[in-house]
Amino acid sequence: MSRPQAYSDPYVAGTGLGLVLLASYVLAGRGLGASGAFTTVAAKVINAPSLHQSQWLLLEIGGVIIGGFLSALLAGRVQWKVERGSRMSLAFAGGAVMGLGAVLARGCTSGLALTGGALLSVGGWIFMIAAFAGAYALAPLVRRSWL
Amino acid sequence: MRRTLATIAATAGVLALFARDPGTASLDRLGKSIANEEDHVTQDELNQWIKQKKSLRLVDVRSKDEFAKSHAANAESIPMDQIASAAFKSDDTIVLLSEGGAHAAQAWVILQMRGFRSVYFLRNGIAGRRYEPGRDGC
Amino acid sequence: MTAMLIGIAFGFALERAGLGDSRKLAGQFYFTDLTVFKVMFTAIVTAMLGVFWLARLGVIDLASISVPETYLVPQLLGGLIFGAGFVAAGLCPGTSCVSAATGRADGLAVVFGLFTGVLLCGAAGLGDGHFYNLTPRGTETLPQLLHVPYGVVVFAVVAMALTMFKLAERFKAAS
Repeated sequence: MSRPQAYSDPYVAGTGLGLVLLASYVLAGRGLGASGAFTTVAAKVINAPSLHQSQWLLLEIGGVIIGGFLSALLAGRVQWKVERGSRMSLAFAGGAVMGLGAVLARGCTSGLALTGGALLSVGGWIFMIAAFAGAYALAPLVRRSWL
Repeated sequence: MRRTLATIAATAGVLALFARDPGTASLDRLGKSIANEEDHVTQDELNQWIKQKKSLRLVDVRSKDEFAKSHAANAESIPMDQIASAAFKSDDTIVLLSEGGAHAAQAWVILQMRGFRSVYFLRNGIAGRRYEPGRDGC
Repeated sequence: MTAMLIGIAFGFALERAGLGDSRKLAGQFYFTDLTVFKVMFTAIVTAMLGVFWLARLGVIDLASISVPETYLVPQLLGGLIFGAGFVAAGLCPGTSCVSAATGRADGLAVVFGLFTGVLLCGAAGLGDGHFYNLTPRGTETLPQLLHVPYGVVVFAVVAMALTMFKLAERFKAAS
């Protein structure tokens, strides 16, 4: 297996991401998303019509998985990696908490912060600032698991 | 690379400060379309399209009651209050119908603002068709 | 479908930036790695400028782009909660998929956690609740809220972003 490449410059990668977002606006008349794909599957699994559903997001997330894999493959970064116990449980718990936050806010960093942010949506900016605030606030408490 | 990106962003940002509001660009385009009579079709043109079996969506924007009383063959009913959220494909060719053509013309503006380009309304509406000179002996 | 192609490009860009690595993402909140901030805001500025100028030049219609709806209180609270979960998991819904796709087990854990959280919300009927539907504002944008021209807000966001990037680089050089 080839040596893993270094990650791209964040500003360059960010510009690339911004162009993908722009392409989405122009070609699909809408921005990106992620949590919506999760709610779509969940709504079908337990029959909860109150959860937001979107066929488009389901297909998009499928693409995200493929794209992420492709990029890692090309850069030699595909590798099965399991973290220690506390990391894994916090990952699961964090995911569940994010699930609640995303349902309440009707979006996540992809759908609200990125998509809404670029369109100057009030909700998008409020969510983004609140999310950063919430993360910084809890950071000291979970510091140990990251060291 | 970073410097280039930053310069481009800064320039675009400063220029945005002095630019005319983007909302007006689409209004300009609409005004020109209307002036160039690209927004509507006559009954004859519509008949031609139907004869050519052109793939069309005939949309009747009158109320459900009016539609129920009588409507053109192959027309679908999407009342005015649902036009803003009705589902269309971006490559559909849509022809809007209303009684006198006014509502259809208004629906045309709404659909154009929603981003649909291949939209037309029937000039003089359905009524114009009904009372065409020579046809009904008037 | 376009959705999948856009998704592929999205996932690709995220992984390129290293956002499939939870440790890297978490670094944002301990000031050891500001990648999250840099990538997010560069993307926002790029897309924002793109939309503004394409609309201004008549290439696209602003009305043809769906703007997310604003619900002040739920999004504020939802954001805080989301942020807390984010720093614990080190990944967000989008990046968790990228992480899992590259073989990281903790990414997979986040994906399962997300599903669980969302399922519970659905089961609890959260979407039908009173709180959920508080303070709706429709597709309100900052220019509308602040009664300031669109271009002025664009300028302000660009200025703020570039300033913060400059600070971020200074910060990195110093530490």
